[in-house]
Amino acid sequence: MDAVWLKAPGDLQLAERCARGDRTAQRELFQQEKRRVHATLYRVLGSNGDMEDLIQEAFIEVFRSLAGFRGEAKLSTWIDRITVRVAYAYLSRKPPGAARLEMVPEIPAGDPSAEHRAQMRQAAQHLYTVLDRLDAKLRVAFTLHVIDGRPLAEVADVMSASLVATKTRVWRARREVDRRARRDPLLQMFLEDASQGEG
Amino acid sequence: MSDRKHEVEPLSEASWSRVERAIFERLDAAQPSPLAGELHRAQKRRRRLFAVGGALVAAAALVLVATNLIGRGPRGESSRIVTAGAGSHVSYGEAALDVDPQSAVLLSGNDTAGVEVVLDRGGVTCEVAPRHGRPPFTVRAGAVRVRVIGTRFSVVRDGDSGRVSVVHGTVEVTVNGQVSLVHAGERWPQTVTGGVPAAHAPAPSLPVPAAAYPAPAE
Repeated sequence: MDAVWLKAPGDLQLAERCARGDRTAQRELFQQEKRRVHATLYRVLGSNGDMEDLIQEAFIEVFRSLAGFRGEAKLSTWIDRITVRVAYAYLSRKPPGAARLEMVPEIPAGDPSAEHRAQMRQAAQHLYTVLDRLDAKLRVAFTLHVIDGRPLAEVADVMSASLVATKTRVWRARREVDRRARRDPLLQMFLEDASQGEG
Repeated sequence: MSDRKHEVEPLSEASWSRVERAIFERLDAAQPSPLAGELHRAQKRRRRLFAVGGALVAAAALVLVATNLIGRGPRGESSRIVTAGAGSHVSYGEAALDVDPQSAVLLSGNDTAGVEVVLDRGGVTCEVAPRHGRPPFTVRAGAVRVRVIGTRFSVVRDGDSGRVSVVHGTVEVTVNGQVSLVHAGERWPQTVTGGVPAAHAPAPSLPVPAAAYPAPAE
């Protein structure tokens, strides 16, 4: 659940305090935005591998860049842009098709919801294996729109791209993913499930 | 989080602590905060933790901060923190405070002039570096005033008064002019057998030497 501010300092005021090196303000911003940053990175990258380092990178970059925040957008949107850049830089450094290792939790016997979650988790792994082979920009656009459910306009904003370019990227990524899904029922099921939320 | 989306695997509290620590260590190394330069040095000192005896279960956080300035010299503006469903962690000068859910605290002062925490309701955990002769770090809860000498303690507001328990070191508790020292493992007020509150031990005339406080384990 998001934190609710009764009397939150304005975005600009908080950013200014952070930019001045006010550690209290910086910690407040970290606590306020950390889960959002994590969720964005997770949806783009598909796992928590290297996540601690990436969240750290994102916030270091946020604090370094805050002097340039002028309040023209929401602070959270501005932070999203930086987070996406961190994710993109990471993907650009990572060798394509790198092995993905994850701990798979045990499925309690007789628990249908746990089995479903395990199935969806496995399906997600199939998806991210496909995404690992895509151009990073296509992957970022696809994951933010299809997996994270953000409107195309918002995806364009955080990627600092035009709406047309963003639509094209999503379409190209989707085409490749659909091609793979024709041979992968689990992936097909995941995409059908995800498509229900596409806008 | 919808099942339609790839459910985010949460990070553990230990992970979050590592991330936060790493971020602020890097910030301090690159550019010590101009507003809290002493905090950078204090973070490298050993600290003792305060445990707060709150009984509320955290669910969601509701935090109100009016203003918050940390600086040297004259007392700065006050900061008010109000929590609802869950607690809040705040840094204030050399202190780190964990405010319990359903609590309200008012912070004022600074490390140069002394810090005062007024606990209106609920409970607060304070992490404070040993004062070593600097102006005190004080917590007020109703009629109770708790002065940090160099300890780990908790304060819980109880009507017009408060309850104090000390985990590590010693605090000085003042009520109606009567001063008591509460040591590690002790509580204030402390109930003896039969439920009759014990008389408060008078404070010694000399300050307790810093050497009496063992360094916390790493």
